[in-house]
Amino acid sequence: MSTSTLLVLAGLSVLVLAGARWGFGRQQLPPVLQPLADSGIGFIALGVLIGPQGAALITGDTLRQMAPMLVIALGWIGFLFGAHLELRLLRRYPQGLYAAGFTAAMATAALVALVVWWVLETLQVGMEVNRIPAAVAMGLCAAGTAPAGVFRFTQRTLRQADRNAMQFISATDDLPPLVLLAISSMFLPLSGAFPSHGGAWGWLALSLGLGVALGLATHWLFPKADNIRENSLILLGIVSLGAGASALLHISPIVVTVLGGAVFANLSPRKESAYGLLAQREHSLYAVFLLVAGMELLFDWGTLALITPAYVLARGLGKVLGGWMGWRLFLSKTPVSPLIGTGLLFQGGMAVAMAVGFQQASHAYLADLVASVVLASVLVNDLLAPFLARWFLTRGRPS
Amino acid sequence: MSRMAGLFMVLGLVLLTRTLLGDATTTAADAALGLGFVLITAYLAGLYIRRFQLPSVTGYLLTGMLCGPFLLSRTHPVLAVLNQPVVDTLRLLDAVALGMIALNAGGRLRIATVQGHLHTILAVAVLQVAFVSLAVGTLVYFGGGYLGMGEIPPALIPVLALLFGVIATANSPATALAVIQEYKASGPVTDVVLAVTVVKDVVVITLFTLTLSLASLMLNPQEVADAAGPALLAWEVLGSILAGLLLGWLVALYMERMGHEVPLLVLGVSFLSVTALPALHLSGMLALMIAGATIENFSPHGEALLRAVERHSLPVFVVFFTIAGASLNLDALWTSLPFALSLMLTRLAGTYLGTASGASLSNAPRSVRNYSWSGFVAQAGVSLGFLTLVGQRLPEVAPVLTTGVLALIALNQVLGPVLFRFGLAWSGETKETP
Repeated sequence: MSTSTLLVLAGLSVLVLAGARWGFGRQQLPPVLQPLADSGIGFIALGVLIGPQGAALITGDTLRQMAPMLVIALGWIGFLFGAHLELRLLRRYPQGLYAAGFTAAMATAALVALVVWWVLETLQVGMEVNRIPAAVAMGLCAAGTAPAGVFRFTQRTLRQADRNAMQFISATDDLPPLVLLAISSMFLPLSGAFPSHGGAWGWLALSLGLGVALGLATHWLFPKADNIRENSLILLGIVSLGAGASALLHISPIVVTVLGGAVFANLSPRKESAYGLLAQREHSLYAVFLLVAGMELLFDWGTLALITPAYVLARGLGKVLGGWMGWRLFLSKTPVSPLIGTGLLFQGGMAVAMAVGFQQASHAYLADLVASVVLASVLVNDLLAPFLARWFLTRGRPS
Repeated sequence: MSRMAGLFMVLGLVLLTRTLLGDATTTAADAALGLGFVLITAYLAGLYIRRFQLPSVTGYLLTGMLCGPFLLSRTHPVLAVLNQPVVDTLRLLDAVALGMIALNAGGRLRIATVQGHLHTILAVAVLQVAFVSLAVGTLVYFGGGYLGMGEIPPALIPVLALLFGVIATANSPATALAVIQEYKASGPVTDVVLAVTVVKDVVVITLFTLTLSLASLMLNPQEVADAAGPALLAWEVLGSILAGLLLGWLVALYMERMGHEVPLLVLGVSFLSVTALPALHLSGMLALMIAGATIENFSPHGEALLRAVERHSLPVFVVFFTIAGASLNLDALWTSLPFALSLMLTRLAGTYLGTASGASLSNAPRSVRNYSWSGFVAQAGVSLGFLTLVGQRLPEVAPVLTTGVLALIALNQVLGPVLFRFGLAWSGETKETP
């Protein structure tokens, strides 16, 4: 290992340590910046600053050595998301909330995809054949809501109906775009994407098979007794195995591990123990993931400056309109606010994971652009979402 | 039963992936798959092997040997889960593992306990080094030629005898600690083994540095003795101790003032110390042992540190020992089996005699006299580090030395944990008897 790599890792460790303390601790920051620290999204900015696009403290070689961490972190985020998809619990919630949440998510995806495609066409960005897949990917990455941001925000004064709706929708509305992104990547691939085994249908069969097998293996291997050391080892092993196998076969590590997590959650009586461990370890892993994701960005600053505002505005509009449509169609007889969409602007972990997963599957320029725009949007939304949500949701009550 | 089903599912997944994969691989994904495979299969092997009264470490090592580049990976590309590039990538975790092991070993050294056994610790460390280096050196000098060491020019034989003798004195703190931790051992044998391991680290580094300079002079008499040699040695030992004290103080301060993310701190500090301190010509392992002992003895955070290290040590141990098993050079072992066996038996005898006589001279308890030798049989990382240094400074003796030492390590690393497990059980320091 070269001295520069060592120095970089030294600095990185200190930054992660200090940042983890700052980001996940209780240090007081200016209110404008507090959301960045609360969500840990500030690590993306840190990654950009020290990465090849910033101060270039990180070289390409160092990034390559860190690549397995990114694969494993993608798997960890996917498995954690899947582990809370327990049908028995999900059935307890009213169908109207699902329908309203999915409507908001899909309307946002459609609007963002259209706007981004128009901008890409107008500016002639990237290869023509790749513009539609990239626009679709950006739209789908915009669709979900970050539960962490929503949960932090709804701890403040807010009506219970709005709070419950926002929390439920944010916990589930990532699922449709996640599945659709994985499917669209296969049926509508970027021209530079790595080929998958057996084409799109082969991909689908492989993803399903691997996901189910992973879930079964976790169920069988997860120790019966509460032993944190053994449980952590098995979870880390399963996540690494699933994410590594998927990445090797050029199928989505997130989809496979989400499936694995969901199968495990619906089979195992010890899912709470696993979920607790996954969530507990997530902080450190997530900090490193965001940092590395920030460093991996390949910015074309000019294009980014043109596309990001359009993306953020389209997403905001999509959330508000989609939220209203969902409310009008499914929740109008409930006390939920018609401006519920303004409470769904938070964007975070899963959007980043989806974008990075998309980027990892291809060498195309537009794949890098998708990841960069989504990360920039996550930063912007982390800063703006709390203010907008508070402003609208305290004024938009139905009479 | 369900674990067996899980294991078969994992094996099936890995084989399916590698069958579909063909020749195309990407290092990052391959390493992630390899890590998952190692964690699950080696861990389960460790569990199953305990049914035969053997320590889990042996299961991890055997898994590594079986699936590593020297056995299964050679037979068919589909079975090459632990191929050489994957092993090399995962070896990056060695630094973390070694650092955590050193911190853990130091954290178990309590001044009061060490003071109680001080004479024994010093006597055992010195006599063990003397007996082992003399016995092995003598064997190489007089018998190496007959035992298959190869055609060696006469001028090189004394140099080889010196180097073989010194390198044979090194042992594996990682293996000793893993066995102690697994069997939750405590008592005089455990205390003496841990303390002697730390003291020997200093003694062996010193001895090796002096021997290397002497060997260099013997091979190149016209070369003036390197004046910087003793100063560098003093810097390595004293500097490492100082670095360890400083590191221990800083970690204790962090735990005092902030106290969050201690596992992350432990991982970062371990990795950085083992990888960065050698660039300053310091021993990261020694510095971390001292840091662990400083935190344990001069701050109220020793328990918290040990808990943080132990809570995260299982995956690190599993990967470390499996990769150590995969790295054992079986080719070297096959080509020099008679020589390696002779070296191993001689080293074993030297270790037993040195430890027993040191313990007797210092009036140590009977259990220490009879069983503590078993904690010094395993051999790994430090010896490999010495080989690298010899390769850089004395390339003319490096090939013969490397083959012999790698074969010796392969035997000792398999035998060591088993002997120590039984040694601890017979001394009555574990909760169970074999």
